[in-house]
Amino acid sequence: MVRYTRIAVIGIGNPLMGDDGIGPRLIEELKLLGTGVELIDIGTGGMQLVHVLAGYDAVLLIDAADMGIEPGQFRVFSPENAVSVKECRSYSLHDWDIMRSIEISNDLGEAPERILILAIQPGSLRMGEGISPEVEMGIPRYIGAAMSELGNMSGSMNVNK
Amino acid sequence: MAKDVNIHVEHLTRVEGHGDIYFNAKEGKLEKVEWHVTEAPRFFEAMVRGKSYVHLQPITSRICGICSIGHSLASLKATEEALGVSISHQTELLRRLALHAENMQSHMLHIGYLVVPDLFRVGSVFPLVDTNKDAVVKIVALHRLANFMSDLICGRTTHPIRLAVGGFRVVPTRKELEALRARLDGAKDTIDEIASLLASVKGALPDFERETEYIGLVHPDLYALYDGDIGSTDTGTHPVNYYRSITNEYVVQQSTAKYTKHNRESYFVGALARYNLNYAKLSDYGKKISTVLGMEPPIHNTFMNTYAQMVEYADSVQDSLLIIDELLEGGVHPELAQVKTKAGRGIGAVEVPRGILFHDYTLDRLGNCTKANCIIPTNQNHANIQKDMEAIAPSLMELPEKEIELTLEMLVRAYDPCISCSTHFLNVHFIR
Repeated sequence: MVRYTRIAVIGIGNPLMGDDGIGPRLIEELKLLGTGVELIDIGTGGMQLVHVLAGYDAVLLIDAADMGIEPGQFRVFSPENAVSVKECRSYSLHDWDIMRSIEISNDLGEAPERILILAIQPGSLRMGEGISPEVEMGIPRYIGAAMSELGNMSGSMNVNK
Repeated sequence: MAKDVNIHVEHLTRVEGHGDIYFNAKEGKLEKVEWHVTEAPRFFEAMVRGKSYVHLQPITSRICGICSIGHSLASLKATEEALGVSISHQTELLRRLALHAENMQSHMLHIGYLVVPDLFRVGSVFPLVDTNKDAVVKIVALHRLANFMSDLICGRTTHPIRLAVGGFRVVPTRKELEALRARLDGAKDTIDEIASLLASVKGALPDFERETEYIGLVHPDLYALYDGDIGSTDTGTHPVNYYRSITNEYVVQQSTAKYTKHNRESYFVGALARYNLNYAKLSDYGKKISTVLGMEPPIHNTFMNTYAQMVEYADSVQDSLLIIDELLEGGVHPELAQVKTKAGRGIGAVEVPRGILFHDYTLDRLGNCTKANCIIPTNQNHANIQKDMEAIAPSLMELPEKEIELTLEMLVRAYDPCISCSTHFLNVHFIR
């Protein structure tokens, strides 16, 4: 198995829009645990993701995603295994499609070798702070899944609790 | 051909924040063309009241995720004037570098990601990767250079942490400045190529002229960004403390953002205003790029604002090289300001990517803010956007509805408006 050295977890989302803030929230949780990898809260960073991706060999992206499953459930997948059906009429600074950013990064020849997306089905995306109870209850499971994937990426036992 | 047209663009894309366009015609007669701003006000001026002077810059920086450096500098200048604090020449040079970094960052984002897709008649930057990959690579490189520069000077790509009242918390090292110098110098070929690309698609811009009043900072020696007096193409030069008589904010029915007017019904701020006011102060390199783009001043075509941004990108690179040389020659020294609080009022005016920005603070003797007023560039452009729409609308009547819509969208985008912030989330289904 390939072991990567330049590894990052990137949390995407807006904490002012309910469960859209789960990405940044999990970055905060991971910081408390000490993962030994870069932990980045990119907010709603748009094309910034392309620049950040360029700096790593392996990246775990965490984002809220409507996958048509129950609120609070999550999936871990690689970009090749999903297509975006998001209706992004065109690009705006805060309404962009991370799948397309990954494509651009690939096209530029600078994407990390390994990209995984930890996607969480939101309960509420209404304007306001705070994570919905369904998603809040899932946090230990999301952290467990993230740590497990980071362990695989780094090959390090102390990450893979 | 007499026809009915009903266009309502709800939440125009590829702009910062939320604005709507309405265009209605009945039997070939224009009934309504309006630019609406639908965002809720954000009350930053109330938020800083009661806060210590040390907190004003970090809080007001958050007004914008794109021009956070500009807001920081306007805030620091206002605070320093109120407290009677002066800054060193080194701080002024570093601040000018910070502002260049932001101008480059914001301009390349607007040119490359938001406007170029219109010029190539595609919906966004994403399909452009398939058709013009080389151009996208260069745009990303120029954007990345500006991010690197912001990070190096300000300690962060956005929301600077090194800028402080009276000075700099951390100054860049000689080695860092040399690295930045090399990267800026090395970017010139790429800048030339992007400028040539823009020149080649200039024909895609609507042929639209409407002269208006252009307002921006002016300086006797520099292409004014960090400092200067207020200049108007109609009324000449005015001191910064005259700013309320320039902006004259007022409220309109169709917008949650205030409008402004000075000598006419509306005025223009931003790269094109600066270009028209300060062309003579551009560096040779800035002028060279303006020649490549075929830009003989004055220019009254709003759509050319994006091209003026390209000239400014080049000029910022050139001026930054000069500033770095001066810093390297003198050596960079750590500095910390001593601040004593006193009661006072200060006004800071800075040219940020979208135009002239004012922060006006009143502080009590302990340095706590008792009153604040911030007038951002996009507010000053709303009335001009409306007037441009009214002027261009009659010429659009015979076009297909999609073309009318695209032209009006391009018009608003040309101003690079920064309306505010929202959200995003993914929406995917799986390939089984």
